[in-house]
Amino acid sequence: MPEHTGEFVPISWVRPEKSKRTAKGSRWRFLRRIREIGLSATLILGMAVAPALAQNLGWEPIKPLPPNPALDAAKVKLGFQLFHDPRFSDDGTVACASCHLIAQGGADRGRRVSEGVRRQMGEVNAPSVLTAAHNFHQFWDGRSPNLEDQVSHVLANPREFASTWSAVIQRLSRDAGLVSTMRAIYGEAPSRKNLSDAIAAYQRSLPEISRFDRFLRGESSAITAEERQGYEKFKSYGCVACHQGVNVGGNMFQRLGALGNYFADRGMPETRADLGRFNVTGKESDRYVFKVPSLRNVALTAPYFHDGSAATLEEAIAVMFKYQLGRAAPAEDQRLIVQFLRALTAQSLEKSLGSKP
Amino acid sequence: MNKLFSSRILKGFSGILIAAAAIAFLAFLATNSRDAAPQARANLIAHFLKLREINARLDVNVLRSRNGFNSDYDPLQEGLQSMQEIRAQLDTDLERVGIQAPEAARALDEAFARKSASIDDFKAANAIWRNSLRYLPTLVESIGQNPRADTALRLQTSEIASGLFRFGLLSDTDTAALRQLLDALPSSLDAYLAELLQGFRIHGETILRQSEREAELLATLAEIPVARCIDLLQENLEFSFTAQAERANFFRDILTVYSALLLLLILYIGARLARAYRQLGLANHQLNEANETLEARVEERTRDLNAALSELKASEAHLIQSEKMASLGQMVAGVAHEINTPLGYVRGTLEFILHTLGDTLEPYCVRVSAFIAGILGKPANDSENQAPAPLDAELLPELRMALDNSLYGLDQIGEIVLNLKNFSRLDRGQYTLYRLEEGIDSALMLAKNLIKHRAIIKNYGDTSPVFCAPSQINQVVLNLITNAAQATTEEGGTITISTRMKGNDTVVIKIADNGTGIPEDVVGRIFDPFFTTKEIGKGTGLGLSIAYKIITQHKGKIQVFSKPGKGTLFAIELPVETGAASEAPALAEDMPLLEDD
Repeated sequence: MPEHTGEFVPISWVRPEKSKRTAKGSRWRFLRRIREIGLSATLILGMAVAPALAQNLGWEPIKPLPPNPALDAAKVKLGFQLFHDPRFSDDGTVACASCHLIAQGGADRGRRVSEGVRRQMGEVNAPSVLTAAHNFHQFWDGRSPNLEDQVSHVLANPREFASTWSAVIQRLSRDAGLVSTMRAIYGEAPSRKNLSDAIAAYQRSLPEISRFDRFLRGESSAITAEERQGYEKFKSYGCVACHQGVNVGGNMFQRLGALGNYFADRGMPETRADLGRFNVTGKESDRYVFKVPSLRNVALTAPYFHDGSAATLEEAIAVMFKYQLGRAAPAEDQRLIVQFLRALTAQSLEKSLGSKP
Repeated sequence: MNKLFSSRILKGFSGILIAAAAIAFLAFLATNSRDAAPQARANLIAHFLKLREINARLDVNVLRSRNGFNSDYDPLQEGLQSMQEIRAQLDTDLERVGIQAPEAARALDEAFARKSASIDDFKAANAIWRNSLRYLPTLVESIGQNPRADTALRLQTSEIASGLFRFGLLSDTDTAALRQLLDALPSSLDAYLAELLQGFRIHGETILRQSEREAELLATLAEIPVARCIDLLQENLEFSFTAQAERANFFRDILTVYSALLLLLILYIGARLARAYRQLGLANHQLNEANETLEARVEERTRDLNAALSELKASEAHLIQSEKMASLGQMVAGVAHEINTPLGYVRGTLEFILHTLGDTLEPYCVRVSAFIAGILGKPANDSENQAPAPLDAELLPELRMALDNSLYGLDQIGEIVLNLKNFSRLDRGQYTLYRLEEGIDSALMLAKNLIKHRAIIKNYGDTSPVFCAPSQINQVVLNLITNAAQATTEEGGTITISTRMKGNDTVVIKIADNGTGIPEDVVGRIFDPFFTTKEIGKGTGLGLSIAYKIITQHKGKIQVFSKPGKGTLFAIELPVETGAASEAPALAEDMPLLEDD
């Protein structure tokens, strides 16, 4: 199978059909001909030029992580503290960090769904928070526009924190140390606004570059040859159509099962969460539509998909090929893609990746 | 006191309230007359410029993504995010300028939300479409390389692929025809080819569907009037700015007028304060002055009080004196009356004796005497048997003379008693027409003992009777005569009393003496009560003061002219009509009858 590294796909092999529409005048045919030649020429040129452009002008579909924004260290520290504070949950058993373990990739230790207050199981797989700051919306269904707002959703979710802001503020206000810290930083007592702000600030401090970012910035030796090949496969198979941008995803919605009926084949009963963005917009076209997850640190955040149905990267890649790309790929190519994906892991966390498969 | 105090507090409180209200109104005007911060307005305009630019770039980026010129969708998301951030800043700035986001802002938000959603849909459609389109040539090639695939099938798939690409690039292909071609693909060939064809069909349909979806979304995006909403919002806001500026101008005008009024008010209050201050100063000055003169006034008042006290004492003394005199007068009248009766029969008896002596006794005695002498004829020489000597012829006339003298004395007693009666008349308070000379005569009679040996010269004129209280006038005259007698010596003392008319209606009495006179230093005080030159206990010091009062009550005048060593002249002027009896004061009725002053 030929591989094309550019965005444009050659169609030069298409021979113009001479026998078609002979009834039309020669003048018309001539014009059509010219147009087709021009079109073909453009496409050929595009095919020839695009890869070169891609290499030389940094025209890569995946962008390196920008440096984290300048943040108030005190806020970040406070945010860290709050992120680990179980008083946000109704019964004081669950903190943000209970399901988003930063040192383990920002997700929940391989659990399909996470445990909220009173040992309730969540509806969807906990996504990583490590680069959540670069997601265009938060949550699988994108119901929250930013990190600050996101806190309230988790807090109010009866399966997660099952709490209210007034209760949380009441609990936190009894902590003189915390209150004085917050007064020092925000000049006011704990509130929904400043608590959310601190937690968001902490999350904005989390993104960390991977070896692949170094590669994108021109350090060609930062990734291995296999990883490089995997990246090329990732692009040529079209994974990059959705998993692109700074966050390798996280900047668009897509229907799960664009080219096949994922939910019919899954074997698990359909849940409310499976409706995805439909739950937010109510639009029929948003049924089964989810935020395309970021693939940064993806090797650390198994299982995969909103339902956590794919236990390994290989499984997940197979599902993606079948239902999103509508094609098959050789096992070797998939293996290479896995290699590439592992290179997206934050450098400080790579040691926890374990041995290569 | 309490009421006054609380009303003062109320007044002060309301004053403060009014001042506060005036200042609050001033602040209100000042706040409202401030134009929207020009910086904020400039910011807003900059926001609109940026919004337009980003919106335009977003549109370009959508087309770029559609045509594969964007390697990823971050530019779209960045555009949307920037617009949202600017929109939020716009709200903040609007709040700062104090303009409520107009309806157009909501329309913009709505359009923006629609655009955002459409772009999300577009990204999803575009990604799928691109991947399928990318896969299509591979499929065509695989089918072409399959030995079971005939030329027709190869041509068919090529034509479809070509059509789909054309459609993707130019969107001018008839999609229905392409669909028909896809449906016309044979389905039952060998398993591998069938799978390839099935994949081809699926991807072809996906491309068609997503192309259509894309075209639809692009049309929707083109339709969403974000740019127009931005224009409209800007127009609205500029209108609001103009309105705000006009309003601010209006308030500035009012502020100017109000400030001028306040200034005038302050000037007026200042002027009033200055005036009040001046008045206060004046009042203060007056108070000081009053304080200073207070002592003098107190002294004056004390003097007045002392005078009143002495007058009161005088009145009291007058009262006592008049009581005394009234009792004395009654007693005198009683005594006079009682004396009259024995006087009557003594006189009768004496007259009888005299009568008898003259008519009967005298001739009898003469005859007896002659008889006896005849009988005896000789004078008796025997003393013990001597016959009584005959009556001296001279004896009888001497007896008659003695009786006459006794009668005269009785007459005098009678006159004195009459005068006493007259003088102490019980009707003395009664006003009546009275000839003053009568009073003078009876006074002279009463003072006879005092004025004996002094020459009394009477120069009575032809005077009219005076309507007066005779006893009081008598008292005055008696007092003056007594004084004159006391001032003169027995030898060479002369008292001149004259009366005359002064005009038709005034009688003048002048009582003059050639006595010691009154020293110049006391002549001004002789009418003062309790003033006396006599030894203590001899005079009351009331005589002349009472005389002065009586004459004054009769609307007359009493004056004194004196030269020490030469004599004194008292002149009394009494109007003929002294006024109604009723005007006579009570004091006059109880005037002392006698005064030895």
